Amino acid sequence: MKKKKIIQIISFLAVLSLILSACGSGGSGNGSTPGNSSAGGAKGEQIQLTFSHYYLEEERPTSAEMDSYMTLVEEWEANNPNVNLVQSVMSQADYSTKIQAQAAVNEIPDIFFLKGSWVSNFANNDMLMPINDYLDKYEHKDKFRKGVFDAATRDGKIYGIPNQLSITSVVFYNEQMWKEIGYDRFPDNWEDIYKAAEKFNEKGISAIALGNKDKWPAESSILSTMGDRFTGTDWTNSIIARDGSAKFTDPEFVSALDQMQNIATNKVFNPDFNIISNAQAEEYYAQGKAAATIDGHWALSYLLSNASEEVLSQTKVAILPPVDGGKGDNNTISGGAGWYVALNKNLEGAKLDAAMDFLFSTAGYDFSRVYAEKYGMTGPSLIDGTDLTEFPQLTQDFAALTGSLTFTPIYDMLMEGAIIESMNTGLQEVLNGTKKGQELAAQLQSGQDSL
Amino acid sequence: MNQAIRPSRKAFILYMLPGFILYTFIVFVPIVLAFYYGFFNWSGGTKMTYIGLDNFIALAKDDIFIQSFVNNIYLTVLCIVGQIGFAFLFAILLNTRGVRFKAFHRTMSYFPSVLSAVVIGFIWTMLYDYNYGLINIFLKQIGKADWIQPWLNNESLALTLVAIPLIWQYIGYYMIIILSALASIDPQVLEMAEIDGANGWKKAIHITLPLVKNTLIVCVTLCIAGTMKVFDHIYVMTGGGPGTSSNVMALNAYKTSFLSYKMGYGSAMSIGILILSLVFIAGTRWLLLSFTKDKEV
Repeated sequence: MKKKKIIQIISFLAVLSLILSACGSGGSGNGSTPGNSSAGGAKGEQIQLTFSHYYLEEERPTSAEMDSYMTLVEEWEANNPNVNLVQSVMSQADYSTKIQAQAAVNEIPDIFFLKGSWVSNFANNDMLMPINDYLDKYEHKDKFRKGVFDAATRDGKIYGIPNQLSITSVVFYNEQMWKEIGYDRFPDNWEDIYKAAEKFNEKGISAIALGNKDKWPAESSILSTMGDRFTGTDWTNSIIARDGSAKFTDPEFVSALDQMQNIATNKVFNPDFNIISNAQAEEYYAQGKAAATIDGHWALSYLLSNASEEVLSQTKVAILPPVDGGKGDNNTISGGAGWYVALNKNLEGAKLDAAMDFLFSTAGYDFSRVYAEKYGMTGPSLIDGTDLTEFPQLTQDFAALTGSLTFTPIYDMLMEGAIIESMNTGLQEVLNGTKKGQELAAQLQSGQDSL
Repeated sequence: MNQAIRPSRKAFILYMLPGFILYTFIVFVPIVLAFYYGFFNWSGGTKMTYIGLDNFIALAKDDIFIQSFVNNIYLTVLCIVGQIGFAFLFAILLNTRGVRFKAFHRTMSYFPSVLSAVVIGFIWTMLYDYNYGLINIFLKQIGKADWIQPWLNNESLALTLVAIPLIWQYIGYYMIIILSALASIDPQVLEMAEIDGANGWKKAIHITLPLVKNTLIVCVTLCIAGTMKVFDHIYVMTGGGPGTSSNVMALNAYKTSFLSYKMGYGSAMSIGILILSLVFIAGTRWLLLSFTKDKEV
């Protein structure tokens, strides 16, 4: 009898502890977000800030922007011993999923990376802290490039500081390989590229390496620039603003999709373009299996640290060839600020001050300064008189090319997530030749209408 | 149960409680919540707008969702034939007297089941690789270089190609279940059949198959349930691509919720998946049971 009692008590306790722990975790989850109750607590008091981002330590040696940013984070941590910065780091894809899930239950961290295309959603749900007051007081406010805050501004409120300047559509090509088939440099018209592709294919080389397994590269690195050449930037901005005056079914955009299909059906890309990753495509180029690749600014760091000396010395940069009869400027490239460091709306008092200080110290002017001094790269702020002569030739070429161009909006950073998801998925089929540009355009427009 | 060891009613309930609470919180509550969220236009976060049945109506008209459901059915058919068919053959082979190293074979065929789906996905992605994949290298060696293609980029083949690793992985799992059923067959029955002149094949079809029928029905049910919720293999190998050609329902729900940020619609989709899967499982069970019953009469 006694034994039975004991078992009953034990099982009751087990159940009780289960219920309590369930409540407990819920409670602490709520408690961590709204900041400490004694707002403006005494100085020297330990403050804890949670910080989520996607800068994985193992990627640091090959990513200039990550190394520059994390250097500043480490500096800031050393200067602020009273703040306990709890970092949660994962890959960019995992990060995007996790932050969405956290947003869904309103448990976002204090400081986090925010993508331009998420801003509407997060702002509508009142989760973001406006930084206008702090930005107005910031000493380097005027140094920020024009337009870098656009993607993070809603109704005049600015919700973050850009922590990178993305340039998504640069042609990296191997000069030697193009010379061998009779082109002194990367062709400035598509017909020549199609002809060149034929010659390259005979040699078992691809003209342009593309790794579209993850679906964004074709859209972010090619269509964002190509589309603008056909439609003009006003069209893109109207789509982003969803004011209804521009439609995906407009003939210009359909022509851009058709052009994408033409490129693929002319066998310009490697045959496995839909099943290898962007990194594998960079590898194809670095190994000389492709004569060019169309990629973002991140490819520069990758090539500098991974390509052989032989390939590297032959690598030159160019922009996509112009298109016939487009409404847009041909001397452009898709680029701009697309990722921001943002703060949780619920921060207050000492925590808010510390978080703001962190924000401006790591993502502000200093980031662009370190990025330029250490790597010769262009950040969201203008840095005067950077001496580039010490940097590799490719870095200098890259800076010279991108410095002279106008940036056009990057589709996946600014358009609605649902639209981008259908566009990316549909583009795979368009490139495979199994879906017409017009069909995809109609599908995108019906998605846009239902938002 | 023996009255002497049967716990009192109170103790019985207490014993059940932890499992019941766990199950409630990790299965039942989320389903109810998903059903509830399905009635809202919700993009995550605090703002939710009640829109009635709109999500469910949109789901019924969603071509991509319907396509992914058809893909699931296709995968299920392949998996039932492939997984359980091969498992049954292998189990019978292993049960014959001539086979040596039975334990070794058993372990080796079960081995893929313990591997993570992500690992399997990566291994098979490498096999299908255009430049370095074993399949293309093999084709080149046998002089069929013109058959070489980027396999997973073939929209009409992609779904079948991702089904192969899925089948391969779970043959061992069903083999073990069928082996245990075979072990319960009285050897005398088989001996009698042998005396009557039945060979291996005839024994398998006329003696073994009817005797393990119920186990096979359980296997089919498990197989359908597993295939209807398949996600990770496909996520790793093709991400549902090219386009939507290898999309399945679970992947579609994930993309809707976390890439398109339509949490409300994604929830409605999850409920749709639940209902479709239950109907499909119930339907096949009913069909199988009534079919086998008729045969006996």
